[in-house]
Amino acid sequence: MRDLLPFLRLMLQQRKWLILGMALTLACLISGLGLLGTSGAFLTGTAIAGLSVASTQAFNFLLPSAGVRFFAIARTATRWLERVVTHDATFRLIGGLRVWLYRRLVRLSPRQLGGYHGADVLNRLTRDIDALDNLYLRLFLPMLAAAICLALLGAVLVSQAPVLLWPWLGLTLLSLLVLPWLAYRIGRPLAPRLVQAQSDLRRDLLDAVDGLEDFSLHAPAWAAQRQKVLAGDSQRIADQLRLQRMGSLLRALQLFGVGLTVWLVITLAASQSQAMSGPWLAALVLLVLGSLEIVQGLPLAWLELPGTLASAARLQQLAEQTPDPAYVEQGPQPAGFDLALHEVGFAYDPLAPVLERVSLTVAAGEHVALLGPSGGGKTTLIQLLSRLLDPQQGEIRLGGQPLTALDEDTLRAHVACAAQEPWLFTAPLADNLRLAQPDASDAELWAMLDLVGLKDTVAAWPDGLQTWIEERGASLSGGERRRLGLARALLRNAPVTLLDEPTEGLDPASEQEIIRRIRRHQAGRTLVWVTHRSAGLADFDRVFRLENGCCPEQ
Amino acid sequence: MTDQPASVQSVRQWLQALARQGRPWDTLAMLAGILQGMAIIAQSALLAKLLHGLIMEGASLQALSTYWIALPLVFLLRALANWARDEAGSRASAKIRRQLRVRLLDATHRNGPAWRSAQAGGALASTLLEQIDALDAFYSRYRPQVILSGIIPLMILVAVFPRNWAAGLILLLTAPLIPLFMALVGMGAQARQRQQLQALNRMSGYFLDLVRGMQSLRLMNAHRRQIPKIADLAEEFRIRTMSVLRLAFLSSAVLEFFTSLAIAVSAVYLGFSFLGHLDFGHYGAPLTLETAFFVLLLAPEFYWPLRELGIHYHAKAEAQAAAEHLMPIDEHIRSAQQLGGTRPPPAGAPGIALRTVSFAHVAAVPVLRELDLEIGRAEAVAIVGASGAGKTTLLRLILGQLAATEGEIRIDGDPLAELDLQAWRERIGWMSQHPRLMSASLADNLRVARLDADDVQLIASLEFAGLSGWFAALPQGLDTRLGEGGRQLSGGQLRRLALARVWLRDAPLLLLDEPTASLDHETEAVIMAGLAKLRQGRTVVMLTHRSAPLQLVDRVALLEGGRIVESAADYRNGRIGAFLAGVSE
Repeated sequence: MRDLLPFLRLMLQQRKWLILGMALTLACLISGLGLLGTSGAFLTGTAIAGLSVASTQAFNFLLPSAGVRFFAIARTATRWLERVVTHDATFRLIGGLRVWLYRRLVRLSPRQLGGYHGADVLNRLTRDIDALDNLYLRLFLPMLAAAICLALLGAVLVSQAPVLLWPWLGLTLLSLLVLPWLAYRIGRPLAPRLVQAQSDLRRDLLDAVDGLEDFSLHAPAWAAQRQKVLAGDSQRIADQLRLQRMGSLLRALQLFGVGLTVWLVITLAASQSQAMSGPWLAALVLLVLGSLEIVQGLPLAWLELPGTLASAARLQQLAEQTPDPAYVEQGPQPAGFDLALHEVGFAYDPLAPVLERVSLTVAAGEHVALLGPSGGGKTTLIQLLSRLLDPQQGEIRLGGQPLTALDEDTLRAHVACAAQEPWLFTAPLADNLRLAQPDASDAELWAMLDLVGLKDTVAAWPDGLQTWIEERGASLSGGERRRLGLARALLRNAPVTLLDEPTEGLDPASEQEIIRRIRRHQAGRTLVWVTHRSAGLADFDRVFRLENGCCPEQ
Repeated sequence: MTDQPASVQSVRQWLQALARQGRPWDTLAMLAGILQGMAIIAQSALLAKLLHGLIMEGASLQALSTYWIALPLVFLLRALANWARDEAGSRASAKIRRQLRVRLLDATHRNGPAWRSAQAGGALASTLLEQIDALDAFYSRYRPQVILSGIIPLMILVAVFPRNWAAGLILLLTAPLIPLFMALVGMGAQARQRQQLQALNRMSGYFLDLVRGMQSLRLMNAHRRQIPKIADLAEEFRIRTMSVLRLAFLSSAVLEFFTSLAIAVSAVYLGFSFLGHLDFGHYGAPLTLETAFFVLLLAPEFYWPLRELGIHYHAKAEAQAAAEHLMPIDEHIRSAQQLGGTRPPPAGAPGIALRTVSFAHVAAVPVLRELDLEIGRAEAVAIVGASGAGKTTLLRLILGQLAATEGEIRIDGDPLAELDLQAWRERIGWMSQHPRLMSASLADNLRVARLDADDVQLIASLEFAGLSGWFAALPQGLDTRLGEGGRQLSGGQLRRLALARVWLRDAPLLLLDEPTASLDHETEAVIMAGLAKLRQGRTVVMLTHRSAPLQLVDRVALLEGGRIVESAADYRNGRIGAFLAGVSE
């Protein structure tokens, strides 16, 4: 339950709306009960009065029939208001939850977020947030409303006959304690199992579907993989079925519990030495019967709670990580733009270090190329230089200051970087570019597109700079995406620019042209160019070859 | 997806056809629902009898003992019927979903890798997982409820009319409105569903977009600037969505209104009848409290199935959206792999002849035009050409994963289309430019190439690929988990693993797709040496745009404009030489 605390705190920020939603929900439930109770009492009253002429004429039908009409109208109106307000409140919570989570995630390094390859982590993240979105609407609101309505019901029952305390107590304990506890106990072992089974199934399906090239050549291997997927699926569906079965059993128990309470109320009321008045007996029976509406959703909500708690725990775990690398709040300014790596080492897997004792210096304004095969540690080196990672051995300095001493604003202002796979956001092209430089004018954007050789392409699009980029640039070619990333890095106008394979996918002639333009643009500023192709690097001030973790100069 | 979006009509038919696989559970769900309706009527009748006896006749419980004993039993029956209905619905849905997953997985395999590569990103696996699950509530809850919201009100009318026609009339007059309400509920719920889902999806999508692009944001120092934007966007979503929801919720208010109206009008009619102000509706005998209660208790139940339907309505919209994703997999036939014939493929290293072969994914844009290429038995041929020239298409044609639009491919003189294609593919060793690592053990990753290989063979394959040093350092040996959640491999190691797979296959035909692209020198040397050994006595088709691996082959063919424009052993001169000189190393 402790995992819910931060989320409960978020809810408190919206308490005004949550309380209003609660009040309206209560009003709606009470109107429903009131309508049933008054109708029952009214019917019985008129039936008794109708026995004799005198009592017929004396019967005041105005009040109860007005009550019936009032509750009927109130029920309709509050139902609508309740829907509107509780959903409005939920939307407020949804927004608050995302802002809270983003604030936490923004501190973490891409590696801590699972990188691009942790698709499963991100899929789960989405589902976890969705699960928490419904906490108010599906659990808190019905639970609290049920508690209050049951308390009111108890007061009415006991005021008519103290002995009715017992069936009421039974119903209340069953609905608010026993069934929720049972549901929670049943759901707790199943929820993590289902999450695990889902993630295993996703993995096996991905292997089956993405490995189709291999599987299509070898029928026995396909048969084995197919069997693996289907066995996992059957097991998972069996678990889902068990969870659903428990849910409907609990609901049936709740239904039977309400029925039994009605039966006990009739039995106890009829066995009273002093008979209860007819209208009250009818009203009480209808009230208890009507309470089903109030409690019937509770068991399912509690059955889902362990899953929701697990989601909350996962989000917490993700969000509360210590940032690595962590940045200082306010650091010194570097005294220059020269880069120095001293004996830098890094390994994702201790058995296979990516970089070992890499030492090199890049003077301010120098243009260097880092040449190496894929998997040779080039991208890791770029991530170390832009401090998305910290080296495990050695040190990197910028202008004499260790990178770790700089605050993030300072570091980013000094070092710009175009990653190998730049992320394009679902937004207009201009917005994507202005992420790098919010106050860049359209003219500046066009100039930059010209520099990276995309001006004609973009000018040919009907919406030009305002073209909407869909699904991280699915409609663009790999080369176009890379060059947009390049444009963003150059728009930063930083004294040091790191480019990771910026010309991959270009033909040799355009590659040469772009290298020349970028070098001209970066004249006087530091440029680190990483590539696995040696062509066209002759003009660089120096070329380093990065292979097997070391870095000799060529 | 290249397929047309499915029409509403066909989506409905597809879902309907699928429902048949839920038999007999769906029928049982409906029967349990009818039993539930009967229990509700019996429960109301018993309660009415008891209240009438206790209040109007001053009878004791002993006098009413039959009803008094029957009442809890009927409550129990209702609870059991409720449970049985849920259970049967869940089982129907489980059965349908399990069978559908088998069917679509097989369809994916049948459609083949060429079809697969035309699908967007990693979405296919997600579709097979999540979109099939999204059908659950539709089959388990919604469909049984649709039938019940027609049957149960009818049962209630049949029970009420013989007692009091006026009360029955009150319900009946609103009954023709029920289909209208259903449509109303549907429209309202659908609009609500659409809006809410859209808003939420966009919100989630935006959020996920930011999280996944965090590295890019961070490198531009733009990551913290997004915080107020998320808040603004959430607020905008809330306001826009609520303006629609306010209207959509009117449908549930209208349903609530009729439920309340039915109760209120019945109560008022019955009450005033008792007082003698109204005198109609009965069949001669004066109105009793028993009848009155019976009517009053059933009035809300008359609308209950409809309200329940409204709750499950989102399941329908969800299922329809899911069906649009699933149907193309199910129904895709056009560019499916060739099915081939029954003739067994020839033994030994095959000779391959492509005669005036044309191929086009889209009719107007041919990839290959009347291409001619002859590859002799045990000959090694490299095909060079710019990216997009159709090299991969050529390989897929030889694999039988694509069918030539025109022309013919012959294997040792037999038309490829007449061969048993699965047996043909079993005779091919394939080395991809981007070998895929499965999230499974090292042994499983190797056995993809040959399932019946024993451990000794697996270890030998690793040695052949120059991985024995790496393998020796693995504490769990062949059981080492690779891929997601396990050990990752570098690009070079992965390519060596692919080489080990090819060795294990021991196939007479090797198809090699850029076997040494972007590799370090050491790995390149290992791969080249391995391939040099493997090519002896085998037919080899290699795609490349680099000159280094060309020393492995007997002949080089240049693919340009959909044709082989030159084919020669000497790749240093002529058009091939000119092409290779233009490609940077």
